[in-house]
Parts: sequence; C-alpha cells; structure tokens
Amino acid sequence: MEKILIVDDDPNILLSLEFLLRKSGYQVFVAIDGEEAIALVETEKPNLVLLDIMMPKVNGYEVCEFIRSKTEWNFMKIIILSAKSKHTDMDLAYEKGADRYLVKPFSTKDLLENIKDLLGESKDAKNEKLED
Amino acid sequence: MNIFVITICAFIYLLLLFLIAQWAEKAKARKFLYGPYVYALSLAVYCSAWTFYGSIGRASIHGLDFLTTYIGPTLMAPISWLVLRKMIRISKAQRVTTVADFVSARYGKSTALGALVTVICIVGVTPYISLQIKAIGNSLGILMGQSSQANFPIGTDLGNLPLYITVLLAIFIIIYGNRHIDSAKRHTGMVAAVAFESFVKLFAFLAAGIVITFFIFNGFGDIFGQMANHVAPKNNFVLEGNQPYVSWFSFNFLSMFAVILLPRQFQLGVVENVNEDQLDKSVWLFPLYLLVINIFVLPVAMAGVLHFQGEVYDADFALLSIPLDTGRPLLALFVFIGGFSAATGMIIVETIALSVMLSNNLLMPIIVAIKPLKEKITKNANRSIFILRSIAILSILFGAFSYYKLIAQNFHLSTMGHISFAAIAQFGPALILGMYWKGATRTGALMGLCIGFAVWFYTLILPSLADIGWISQSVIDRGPWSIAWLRPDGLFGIDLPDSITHSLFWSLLANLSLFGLGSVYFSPSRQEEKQAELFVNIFKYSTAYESSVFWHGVALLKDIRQVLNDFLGTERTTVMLSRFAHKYGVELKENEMSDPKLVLYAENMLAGVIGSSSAKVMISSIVKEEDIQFDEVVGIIKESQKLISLNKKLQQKTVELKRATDALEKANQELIASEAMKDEFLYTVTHELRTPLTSIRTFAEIVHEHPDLSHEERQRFLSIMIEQIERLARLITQVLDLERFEGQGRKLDYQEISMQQLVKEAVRSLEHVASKEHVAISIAEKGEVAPLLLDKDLMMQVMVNVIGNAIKYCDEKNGQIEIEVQQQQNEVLVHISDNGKGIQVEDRIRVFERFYQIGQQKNKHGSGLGLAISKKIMDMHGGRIWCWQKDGFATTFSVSLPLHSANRLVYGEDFNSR
Repeated sequence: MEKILIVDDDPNILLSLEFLLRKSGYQVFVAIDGEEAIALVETEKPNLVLLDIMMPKVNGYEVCEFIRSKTEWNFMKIIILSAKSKHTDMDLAYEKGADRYLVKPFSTKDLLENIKDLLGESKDAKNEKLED
Repeated sequence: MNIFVITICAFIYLLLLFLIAQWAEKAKARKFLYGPYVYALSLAVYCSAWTFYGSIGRASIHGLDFLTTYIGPTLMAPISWLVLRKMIRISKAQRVTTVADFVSARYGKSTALGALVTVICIVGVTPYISLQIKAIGNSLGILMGQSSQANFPIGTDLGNLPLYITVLLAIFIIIYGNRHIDSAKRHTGMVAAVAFESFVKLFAFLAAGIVITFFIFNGFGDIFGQMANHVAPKNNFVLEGNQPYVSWFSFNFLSMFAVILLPRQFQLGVVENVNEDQLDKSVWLFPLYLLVINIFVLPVAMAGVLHFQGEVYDADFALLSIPLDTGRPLLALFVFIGGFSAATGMIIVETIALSVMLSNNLLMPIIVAIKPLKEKITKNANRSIFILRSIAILSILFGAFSYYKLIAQNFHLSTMGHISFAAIAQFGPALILGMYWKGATRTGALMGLCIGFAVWFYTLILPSLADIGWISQSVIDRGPWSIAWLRPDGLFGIDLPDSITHSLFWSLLANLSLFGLGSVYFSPSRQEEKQAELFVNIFKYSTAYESSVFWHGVALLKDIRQVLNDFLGTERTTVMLSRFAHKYGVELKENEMSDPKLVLYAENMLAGVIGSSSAKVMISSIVKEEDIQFDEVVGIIKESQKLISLNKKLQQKTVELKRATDALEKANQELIASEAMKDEFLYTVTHELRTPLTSIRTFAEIVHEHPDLSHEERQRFLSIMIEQIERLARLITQVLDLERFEGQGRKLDYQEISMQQLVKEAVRSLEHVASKEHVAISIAEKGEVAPLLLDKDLMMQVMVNVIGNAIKYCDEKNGQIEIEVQQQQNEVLVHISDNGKGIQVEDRIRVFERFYQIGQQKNKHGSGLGLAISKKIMDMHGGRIWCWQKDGFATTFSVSLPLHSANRLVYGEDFNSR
C-alpha cells in the first residue's frame, strides 16, 4: 500500500484530506508543520507528499529542498497544495523540486487523478529498474 | 607675606592662562567659545587694574565721579548695537584689523592717516599699559607687607619682579597673540584666556567686597552710618569740584568713546567678533558686568577711610590692604590675583592690538616703500612679519616698562587712565563721523587729528613733564614766553573745572573744526570716494562688495599667486584661491589675466596681513589699473546689486520648483507604496479566504461522492463546513470594515458615554463565551471617570475584540482577566490583563499589524484583523492602544482616550473631509 504524507497547518484541511485518501485506499500520515513533516519523511519514507507552503517554523519550500537533497529519496513525489496563486510562487516550487502544483481550493477529483498519475509514474520507474 | 609664595601664585596663574589658551585653540567647544557669554566677558577687558584698584582710590578722594567710566559704556551699549555692528560689518568686508587700519581704509587707504592714528595710540596707550605694570608692582609691594602707606619705595625689595612678569607676558603674547600672521584671523586662545581673566577679577572683587562689607563691617548700613558721622564724609557722597556737572559730562563722554575706540576694545569687540548675533546678548551682558563689579566700590572706599582713620594709606589699594590689616592674608592673595588678572588681561590685548598697528600701519608702509627692504621682506614674508610683530610687541612692553620705572610713580591710577582716554578720543570724529558722513575727507581727517593730538599733548602731557622736572614749571604756571592765555591748563583764560575736561574741550573743538572745514574745503580722491561710499552704505553693499568691481585692473594669476604665497604661505593661498574659484564658479588659469574681482579679493586677503594701505601698494605693483570714474563705480555697484537681486529671485524660483518636484516625487512614491500595500493586502486576503474554502470544498465533495458515509461522519463534516463558512463571513466583514475606515470613511457617530459603562456592556456580551472557557472576569473601577464623546458601536467593537482575545488566550484551566478603568490627568485608561502565555516583547507592536499572528501560528479563532481594526478605531478617536506586561499578569492590553474631545473632533473632521 502506497504511503502518503499530508502536510498542512490548517487542521480542517488535514482532517478532510486524511479521510479522503484513506477512503481511496492509501496509507496516510499527517503533519501539522514542516518540522513534523521532515521527521515523518525520514521514518516513513512516503511515496508521495501533499505539501502546503505557508506554514510556521519550516515552510513548504524548505521541506521540498530537504527531500530533494537526498538522492535515495528521488522516488518521492511532491504535490504542492497552496493558496498562493502567483506564477512566481509556482516557479519557485518547481525549482525546489515539486512535481505538481494545485491551487487551493482544488477539486478532490483533480487531486486524486494527480496522485494516481504520479504514483503510476514512480511504479513505472521502479519496474523499469527491475527489468534492467 | 612671603615673596616666594606670591611669585609662585602669580606664575601658576599665568601658567593657567597658557593652558586655557592652549585648550581653546584646539577645543571642540566652538559653540561656547564663539557664543555671546565669552564675547561679553572678553569685552570686560575694559575693566583694567584701573577699575580694580583705581575706582576705590578715586571714590575715596573724588566721590562719585568714578562712576562715569562705567556710565559712558552703559549709555553706549544700546547704540553700539548699531555702531559696533556697522564697524564689524565694515571690518569683515575690508579685513580691517585695527583702529588705525579702519581710519586708514575709510580715507582711501591712506598711509599717513594709519601711521598718525598708530602714533596717537602708542603715545596715548603706552602710559596706560605702564599703569597696569604699576598696579602689579604696587599691589605686590603692599602684599609683601612693605607698607600700607602712600608712596612706598619702589624698586627696593621688589627687585626685578615686575620686569620678570613683563617678560613672561611678552612670551605669552608672542605665542598666542602673534600666532597667525593674518591678523584678521581670530585668536581663540587669547580671547578665552581674557574672558577667564574677566571672570577671575569679578569674582575676586566681589569676594573681597563681601568680606569687607559684611564681615569686617556689619553691612552697607553700618559703613554708610559710620561714614555719615565721620568728620569729612561729604566727599564720598557728592560730585567733587566747583562745576561738577561739567566734569561729569566730559568724563562720561570720554568713556563713551573709549569703550569702542580703545585698541583693545576694537580688537575684542570688532576683530575677534565671530558673528553679529553675539551683539544681541552682549549689549546687556557687558553693562551688567560693569554694574556688578562696581557694587562694592563705594563701601570699600569708605571702609578704607574708616579703617585707616588718621593713618596715611594708599586709597587705591584699600581692597588689598584692609584684608591684610585685619589678618586675612589668603583673601588678600586672592585680591592680588584678581588685580593681577585685570592688569594682565589689559596688557595682553592692548599689546597685541598695538603691535599689529605698529607693524601694519607704521613699519610695513615704510618697508613697502623702500625697494631693497621690500624685496627682502617678500622673500620670506611669513617669517619676516612674525619677527616684525614680535619686535613690536617687545618694544611696546619695553616702552611701557620704562615709562613705569621713570614716570608712572607720580600719578594716581585713574588720572593716567583718563589721559589715555583723552588721546583715544581724538580719532573719534574721523572714525565715527566717517562711517556716517560721506563728505568726510582724508585731508580733513588728517588736519583734525593733528591739531587734536597736538592740543592733547600740550594740555595734558606738558604739565606732567613739568611735574617730573623735564621742563620748567614756569611754563605751566605762567604760559610759554609768559603769555598767560597760552597756559597749558588754562587756554584762552577760560575756566574749566579740571584738566581732563579742559583738554578734551579744546582738543575736540579744534579737531572737529579742522576736520569739518578740511572735509568741506578739500575734495576727496576717487579712491576715497569709493571707500566712503562703501563705509557709509555698508549694509547696502556688504553682500555685493566682492562682486562689485572697483578696479578695472587685471593681473596675471601667477603674479597674484606669487604675492599671496609670499605673505600667506602656499597652503593658505591655495585654499583661499580655490575658495574664490568655488564661490564664483570660475576656473583659474595661471597664465591668463584674472578678472578684477580676484584682484580685489587678493588685496583684501593681503590687508589682513600687512594692513590695507600696504596691501594696496603691493597689489598695485602687479596690476595694470585703469582707474575709473566714481559715477562708473556707483553704476557698477547698482548693476551688480540688480544682478544679485535678480539672481536671488532666480534662486528662489529654483528652490520653489525643487520643492514642488520633491513634493510630487514624494506623493508618487507614497502612491506606489500604498498600491503595493494594497496588493499585498489583497493577496493576503485571498489566501485567508482560500484556506477555509479548501476544507469546505473537500468536505462537500466527500459528502457528495460518498453517500455511504455514516450519520456521525456526515454530521461532523457538515458542522465543520458551517464553522468554516462562518469564519469566511467574519473575515469578509472585517476586511470590509478595515477598507471602510481607511477609505472615504464612516462618520463617527458621537455620543456621550462613560467607559465604565461601555466596558460593562462588552463584558456582558461576552459572558457566555467566558463561562464556556471557564474564565473569570473582574472589573476594578478606580475613582470617578468622566463620560467621553465616543462612537459607541465602534468603541464597543474594540472592547469586545480585546476582551474576546483575552478570553481566548487565557490560561486554559484557571483563566483570570482583570479590567481596570481609571481617569488620569488628561486621559481615560482601560487596562485589560490576562494570565495566558504572554506576548514576546518583539511581537508587542506587530500584533497590531494586519494578519500578523504570533509565531506565525494559525489561530483557529481569529482572522488576524481584529487588533488592526481596533487600532484604526482608536486612531479615529485620537486615542491609543498598546500591549505590555503588567506585574502579576501575562499580557495587558491598554486603551487610552483623551479626556478633552478637541483632538478627537479634529481628527474626526479631518477624517470626514478627506
């Protein structure tokens, strides 16, 4: 079962996404800020991280950078979920290593498709590796 | 008293003067040193040893007429605000450095006049300097206990002490007075030392006066009472002589002249003046000084008469001998130091002024006129002038000392002072009338001065020469060749009350008559006319002076530079020339003919070093002058003035334009800044709106997509959605509130209400929240609180917001809130304190920013706008809101409202009219 880590400082968003993803059959972890997120990345090594940007202590960009700083975590996919809608914000996120960027409020359909998409890719990548 | 002790004290005092001068030359306290107090104190150099000792002597013998010496200057003080100001303005413009130079410059930079005034000054003032040496010598003698009697023998036990002191003073003067070759430069160190001396002598005089009056005697009443019973009291209370009011008038008149014409007064009042503003205060400070130093003159004089009843004593030194005679040697020593400072102060300044005169107006013109000498001196001008000045200083002091040794013993202090004053008065007409009467000419001035000086010499000096036996007494008694109406003390047989009045009357009469006649009869040269125009109308020209051209002369810049180099030194020349270039925005080229402005500038620079007339000679040797007609000069002046006023207008316009541009620029920047702020605000608002929207949408879609949800789950999600929608609605209301307050605004709906009542209402409306969160609220009312004019709804919003915050952030288990309402002076204060976690110092201001949340922690409850809105509302009421920590609580929010509605109303109106 694929592991998904949800990171957001709004408890209601956490609650709703946790419920949604469990329902969709994923193993879900939640973090209320960047610090917790980093701890969980290290221990749980999730396949995918849903990441908010504006958070206290350690923000989303920093979490992104941290994940991309280790090559063995290359398989982790990152989807940014942010209320920030400027192009500059998006560009920065991609620069830091995000795979997708969804502007809040997003539709759950979109989110689930993106997740499926990304996890499929990573599966393909793993399979390719096995075939070699 | 031991001579050794006295000498040490005197030397220590002189050393102190050195140190003060040294300090002032380098001190950073320019504002103080160049301020009116030091200036006024330095002017008090007027009070020499004559004042310090002589006044008492004069009061003992001649009664009240000692006062004339001080009443004259006091009368002059208000006028000096005009006269002295004019002299200062002229002197700065023409770089005049002495009285002699002033007179010379006025009459076309006449060498002869400068020399004549110099001679008068030296002849008239040298005795005055020797008077100071005499005062030092005599006071030393008395202090050493040789005698408290009259005419104690001089030169016996004193040895060469006066000589040594004179030599030491000469060294001081050469070091601090001859420091800058450019005598138009200020002697900051010397002025500071002199000001200090003025302070010391005043202090010493007052100290001795107080001790004598109140400790040796029993106050003023005691002295005056005893004196009234004394055998011959009348002298001290009346004006002496057969025609006392004539003397009174002439002495006053004399001192009026002296206070601005004496070389030392000119030096400190005019040359050392830093800016004309110094006059504003010194106009009353200086007369005040004169008043204070005279308070004890009469009591001490009488005390002398009473104390030494029957004995013979020198009344001049009563201030010194009374303390000595009553066993107060330390006080006597202090008095001696006071007298010593009065004497040295005078000697220092007078010698500097005289030496500059002697070198610039007498020796320099001679040197410049003799070609080999001129070439020799220009080769190493700086050093030569220094040596010349030093020689002048030494010879003046030597002259004064010789006079003291040979002649001075025969005179009372004050008599010699008056003789000096009468000599100085001779150039009063030429100098003072010259500033106001354009028609005064060089020839007239020369004639007047010559005859005045001659009459002065004849009537005052001749008799004193007879006194010491240099000429036959019969000349004085019966007149030369036994012609009675030529008697030096009774010219034309007219009876005048005293010799000074007699001399002053005849000398000034002759002086003025010839001055007037000569001026009317002989016409002035063109150079004179130019200078007359400049002197008389200085206030018109003082700004235009340099830019108006009096020479049509031109010269090679390298020649000008050469001459300046010789006298000012290369460094200073470079500085001055670049200053000129900068001032007029011209480029100076070595081999080109420079314009007349520069020629004039150079001449002025030079005048500060070698005097106006010599400077003129030096400059004209390198300049090809095309002399111009007077009409032309006036034309040029007028034109340049027109140019200046045009230029001023232009400048004004430029300034206005610049101001307008700046204002526009600023407004534009403010606009940009406020635009940026608005963008930022909008961006933050959308973010704040999107966050609750996200959870609402997700939950809504979950509920929509999953019909299989349990009832509990569905209910829970729906209630979260409702809560989030409420949050959204609240946020929108607050954003709109804030926008409304900032923009066109809402009118404040004032009504009278007491803050106590308002607080109670706010607490009542929050009661259910408080009880839910288990928070106890107590209201402490401290005394009466007056009702205020407030917008009730808005103020309610503030109170609910702040108290609501306090409830939210209170201690979770045992919440305590204390609200205090009190009235203080001009304000009503409300303090709301809670026992929650507290707010870090660095956050205490930022909490009032929009969307600022402490530690960036999202709070579940608020929008982050509540405090920003509260602050806005307080601003609108002219009140304040701030946050701090009160003892016993974690956080206190305080609100203050002004008691008087004035500023609030103004704010409100201003607000509404925007």
